Amino acid sequence: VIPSPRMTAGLATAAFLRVEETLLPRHAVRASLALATASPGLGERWGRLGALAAAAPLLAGLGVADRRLQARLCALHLRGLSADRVALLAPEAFAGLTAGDLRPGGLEVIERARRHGHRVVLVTSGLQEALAPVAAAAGADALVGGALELRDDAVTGRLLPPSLLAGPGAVAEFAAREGIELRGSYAYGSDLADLPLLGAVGFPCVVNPDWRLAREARLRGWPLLRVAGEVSA
Amino acid sequence: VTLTSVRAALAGKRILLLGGSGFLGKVWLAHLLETVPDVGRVDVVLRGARGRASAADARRRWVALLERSPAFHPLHDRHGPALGAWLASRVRPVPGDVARPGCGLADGEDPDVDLVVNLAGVTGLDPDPRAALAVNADGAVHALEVARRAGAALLHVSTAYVAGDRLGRIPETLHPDYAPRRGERPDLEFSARREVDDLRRLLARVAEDADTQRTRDVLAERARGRLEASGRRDTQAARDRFARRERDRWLREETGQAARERARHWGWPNAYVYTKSLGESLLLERRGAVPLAVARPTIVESALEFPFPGWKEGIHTSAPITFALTHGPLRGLWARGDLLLDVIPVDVVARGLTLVAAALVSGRHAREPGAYHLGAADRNPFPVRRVTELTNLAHRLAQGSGTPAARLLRPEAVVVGERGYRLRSLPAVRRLVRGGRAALSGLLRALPEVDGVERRVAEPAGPWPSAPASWSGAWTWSRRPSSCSGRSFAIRAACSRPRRRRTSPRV
Repeated sequence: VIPSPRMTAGLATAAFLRVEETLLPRHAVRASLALATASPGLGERWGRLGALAAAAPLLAGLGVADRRLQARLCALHLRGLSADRVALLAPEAFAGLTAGDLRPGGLEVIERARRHGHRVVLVTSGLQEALAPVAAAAGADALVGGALELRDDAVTGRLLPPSLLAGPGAVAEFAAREGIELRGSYAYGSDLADLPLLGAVGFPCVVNPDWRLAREARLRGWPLLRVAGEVSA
Repeated sequence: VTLTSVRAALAGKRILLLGGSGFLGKVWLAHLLETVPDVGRVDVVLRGARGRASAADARRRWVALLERSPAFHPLHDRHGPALGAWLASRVRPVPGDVARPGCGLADGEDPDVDLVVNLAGVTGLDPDPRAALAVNADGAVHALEVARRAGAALLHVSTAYVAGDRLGRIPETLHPDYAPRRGERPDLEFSARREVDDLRRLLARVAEDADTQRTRDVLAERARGRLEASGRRDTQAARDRFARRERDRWLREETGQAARERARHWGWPNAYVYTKSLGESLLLERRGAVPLAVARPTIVESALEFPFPGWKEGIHTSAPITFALTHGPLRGLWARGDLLLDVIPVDVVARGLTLVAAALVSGRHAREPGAYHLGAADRNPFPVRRVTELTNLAHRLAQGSGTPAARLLRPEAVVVGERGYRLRSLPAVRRLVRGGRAALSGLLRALPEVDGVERRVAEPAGPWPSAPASWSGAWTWSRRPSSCSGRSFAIRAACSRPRRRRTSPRV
């Protein structure tokens, strides 16, 4: 969690936005590609890139069928990288990104949330370190992201979900810690992992959902938003 | 537990500092003055230039240190133009030399001090053993003599690596006549005093050998060769100068080799830790009633905070390794990745030394002299693999990520085993290049047309060889050779170009 000074002040309402689909298209491959390119040693670097290239058709298919599995498979290609390397070089995946590169629909949601006095909390299933430039470009108050599991200061290849998407209790715990009143808050989710978050807030909304979340949204009568636009960076 | 105030313990105390002009010495002095401004007085013993040791020389050197060394920047920032006046009542440059009896202090002048701090040391993994013996071993005894005469305590700074080549847990206690091989053979006969005498005799024998007729002749021959290669005028003065240098070089190599062999025999890896350990043993043997503490830092590295983050003087300790890891095409570090490199910031060592000094002057140190180890690996282990990784990352962040192609091709240092190192080392590459050149030469000999071109290179004034008419355009000097044979020719020419030393500036 990247706290903002404003987050610590009093009880407030928030708008939780899932970065994937709301501000950016899916980007699991992009972060993995950036970190594979930054691997130490030419042999290891080319080995990782070759493995990613070989898995490209499978990753493309999973991007449509199962995004969570796609993210896990991408993380598997980073096995063995050091914690230092991930922390320092992951932001290179989105370095130089500006607000103009984000989806206008998502930015409009952020702008509207600000006008109504909500805190803006970005949630991503990707690496928190990699997405830091996105949070800065979007002007978010906080970013809650996933992390790579580490053992002996090296990546095991397992992607840990962001704390906010860990389960129903995690949302309430986060809100209590940050002083957020959930009943007056908004959430914009895009896949089934967002279900606990969407269910916890007073005003849930789904944005470009996968087919599973779209079905849930229809059953629960949640509004559905379509935003378009590709990242140019 | 009774707490001791470091500032109160050192307030008003008079200190004699040996080795104050070194990296650690300067930082400790500046840090002491910054954190304990109430210290009574610090006498900084300084050698003059070229062995001169007058009060004026010492003062000149102190002023130069104060003006030039970044270690004193925080004091400059705090006191501004008033620093000189502030220091005048606290610091006194004193002429002397730790390698001389009585530390070379003026005859009949017993220092009026409460504590002697000996930070002097000839460091480096392959020091001149004559200087190392004089400063690291004899110097420790001289510092003890001064402390005894003054009725002062002695804080002696050694190194954690005096333990030598030993594995396992080694207690933080000082042993008289310590030698690492005693760990495996407790019955081993070893006397530090005798070892110092033996080493002194050995070095003297090597020095005598330098003046034998045969060695002088060999060295004169070498000196003549070097003088010729240098391109300088062959005068008697030049011959004498080169002969002196050759003798010094020979002495340095031969004494170094002799000291290394002795050190390794007893279980120390190099002459630095060998002489430092001998110094410790001599101190224990002769200390009598002098309150004594020995501080043993590990690898003293760049500052954490004081005088400012990252400051380091000179290219020492790990700096050459990190430089080598980020330059050149071969970046394999032959090491075990899980080995710990115990580095500790210089200002953390300075703080530790101040604590030990306070304990010593207030009588709160261990009565049986123990060693105060100043290291970081216990709390903050730094394996070689991470050293390499952080070096790579720091270099990458300093250079920027670069173009996509540069990112793909950027070489980075990696930890390799013996086999990997042999494949990546310079000798391996040299063998590869020689093999390639031999293969290329064979190929060129097999091509009659290319032979013709080589003859033209050898005889530029001669007629153009009878090459096929279609080639004529490709073999002019003004155009880059475009055919495959042309490239081979260019490589061959580059490989066979004789090395010449340029003696005049290029026009």
